[in-house]
Amino acid sequence: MDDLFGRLRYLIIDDFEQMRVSFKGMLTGFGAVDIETCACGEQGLKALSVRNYDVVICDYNLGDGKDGQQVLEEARYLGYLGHACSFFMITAESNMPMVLGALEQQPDEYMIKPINPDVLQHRLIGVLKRKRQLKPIDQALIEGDKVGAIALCDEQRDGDLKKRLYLTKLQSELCIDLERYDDASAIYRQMLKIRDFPWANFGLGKIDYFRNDLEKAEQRFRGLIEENQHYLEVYDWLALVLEACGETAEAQVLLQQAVKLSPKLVSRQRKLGELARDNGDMETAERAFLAAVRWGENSCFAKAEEYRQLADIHQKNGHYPKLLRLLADGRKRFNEHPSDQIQMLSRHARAKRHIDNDEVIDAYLHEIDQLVSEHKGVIAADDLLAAADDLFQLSRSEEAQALLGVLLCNHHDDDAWTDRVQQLMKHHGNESEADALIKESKGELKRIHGECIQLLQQGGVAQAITLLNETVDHYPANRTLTLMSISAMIDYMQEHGVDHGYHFRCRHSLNQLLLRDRRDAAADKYLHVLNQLPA
Amino acid sequence: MKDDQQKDEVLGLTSAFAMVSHDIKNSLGILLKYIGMISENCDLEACGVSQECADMEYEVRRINNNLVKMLTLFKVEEGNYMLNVDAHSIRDFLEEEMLEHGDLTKQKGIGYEVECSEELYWYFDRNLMTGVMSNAISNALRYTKDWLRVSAETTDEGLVVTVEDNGSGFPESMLEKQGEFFHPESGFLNNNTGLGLYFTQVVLDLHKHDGKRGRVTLSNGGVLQGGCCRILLP
Repeated sequence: MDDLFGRLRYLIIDDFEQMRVSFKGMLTGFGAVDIETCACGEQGLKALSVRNYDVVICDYNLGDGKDGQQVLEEARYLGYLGHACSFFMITAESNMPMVLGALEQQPDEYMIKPINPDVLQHRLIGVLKRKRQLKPIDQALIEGDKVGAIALCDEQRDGDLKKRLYLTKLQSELCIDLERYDDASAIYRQMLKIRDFPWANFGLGKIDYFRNDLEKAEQRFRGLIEENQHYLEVYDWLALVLEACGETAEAQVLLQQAVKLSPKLVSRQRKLGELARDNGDMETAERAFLAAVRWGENSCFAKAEEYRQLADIHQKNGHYPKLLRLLADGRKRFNEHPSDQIQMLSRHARAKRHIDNDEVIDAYLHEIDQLVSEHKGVIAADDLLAAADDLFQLSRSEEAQALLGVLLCNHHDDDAWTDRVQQLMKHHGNESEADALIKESKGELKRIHGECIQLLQQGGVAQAITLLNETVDHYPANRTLTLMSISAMIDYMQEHGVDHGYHFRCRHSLNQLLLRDRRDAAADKYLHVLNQLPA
Repeated sequence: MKDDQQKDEVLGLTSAFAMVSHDIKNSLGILLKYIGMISENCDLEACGVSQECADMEYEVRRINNNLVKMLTLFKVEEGNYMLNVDAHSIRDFLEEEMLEHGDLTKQKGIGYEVECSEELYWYFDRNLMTGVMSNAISNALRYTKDWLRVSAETTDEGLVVTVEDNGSGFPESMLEKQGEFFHPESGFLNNNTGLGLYFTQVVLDLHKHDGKRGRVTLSNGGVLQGGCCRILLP
């Protein structure tokens, strides 16, 4: 058994030095060699980002910074923790709703202080036996091959019931990601025959929601909350259902209850802010966005969105010093992703309208223009629309329309976006120019789109691929044409053998799509087919 | 308004109670660590205090367990206990419960056996059942001569876990009145076994499943011809 412990990498996260020494001593006693320690959650996450650990022992209570649950959630979200890694949560109390209330983000093991070394060793042996067989699944998921990971889950469903439950849960979640709702639903129903697992009911509720069966989804989610008021994730989903039913006031009340129980979740505060804003309850909206900014200060879940929303509220209230400080912070905080940078720049330009002269504003606009032309592929349509809105307010119609042009080219076949562009221009009195802009932007792409369909039908696959790839190079955020080019390249390779240029291009494009939307089911499917091609 | 105020006050008292209890628990944790250090670093036999040291550890653990039980009962009473039912290997669970009492069994020279199929899994809240087992085991450790047997098997009614010892068994009076431990007038809650039984029944009730209710039964005899505590978990 010594050999088992000796080969693994361990990370201990605890704010008390005495506890770190004590855990390290225990692990060394079991034969562990490679042990690192961290004194806070932030350091722990940093360590997790640079190395793969087999075992993480993390105290829940880590002082002022992140708590253990936040470390776990962020590390999983950022992909630092594979399924083969064992995460031990150490708590002082026996019943922590904040840890146990997480239906999806559960640690592999809980242990309550004081920790008996023999028990820890026994627990470690058990979990390591279960976990080491999950390495191939991790590998598949690292390669983005969810379809392959599902097949691996099926293969491994033998022996240990605990492992089987873990795999079943993982498998059904992956099926939902791939929109294979029938498969996921069948798995959950099977599990519910064994036992009334809340996570299985939760999964079924999500499927109901995705299938737009809102009544059933509401029933399930309400049932879960009735069973246990600490299932906070369920509040988030019930709020989505209520919002979809038009019950936005009720959705807001629900999320207010949830943030009262646990204020730290940035995404929940953000959603509450949005609901309150739409309900016209600006006081609650301001509080929620402020909380989102505050709890997001060093969290990976922070978004430029809450800065943007809060900035709007400050601007409306005429709180200029607050507004400028917020945006200055925001620009420092979100200086990596062009989408965020543009948001902060356009808001900042708008806020400074009263203070600075045109030259300063020009500098901001120039920066936006550069970002858009350099990073067309990664700027979300929502962000382009919002920035255009700001520019219209600055009476910079030409610059605003340039942003909308990019948006329209990226979504040439989506009428919903065309409508929103039209509405925005109408709102700012530019209605007369809207038709021309739409026609000009979408026309060429529509023509190319049609031409490619024709080429593919007539067997001109190679020509179609060349034309598609040229177009995608100009408009990398055009999902329709990107998928079309991937599909054509894969078809070509299936018939003529692998072309390394195409193969690389497909992978790159698919990665970009999944980066924009983690749950892009079409991209997932193509990625699986691509992985099946002989290298 | 007045009701709200009253409620706030009650909550305040409960959380004060919880805070104090946690503080006591921390102190007990430190005490346990020191006791462990003493028995590791000193030749207790030579000093002639090994028995006292074992007793000291036993008592500290007892205070700790009782505190945990009280905190849990409080939460259950308030409807704030978060039941966390998961599948667990019974063999792993029982072995771990014995390891938890490892220092004591070593010091007192008590041997034990765990009898359970490796394939046996059951669904329960591990923390709560740890409290239940810890209670049964420490009781058996107190009254046994030198051997403990912990076993588990499934029946139509549910999982049956049995803790047996080779001591002189429970007193007749206790066996006669064991059905009444839920009533304060039985006097059962005045002793440790009573609180343990009460706690066990509360935990088993939280595990009601398919309309089946769990129960705990004390008897004398069994494989080791001593005290025998039988826990049925649906």
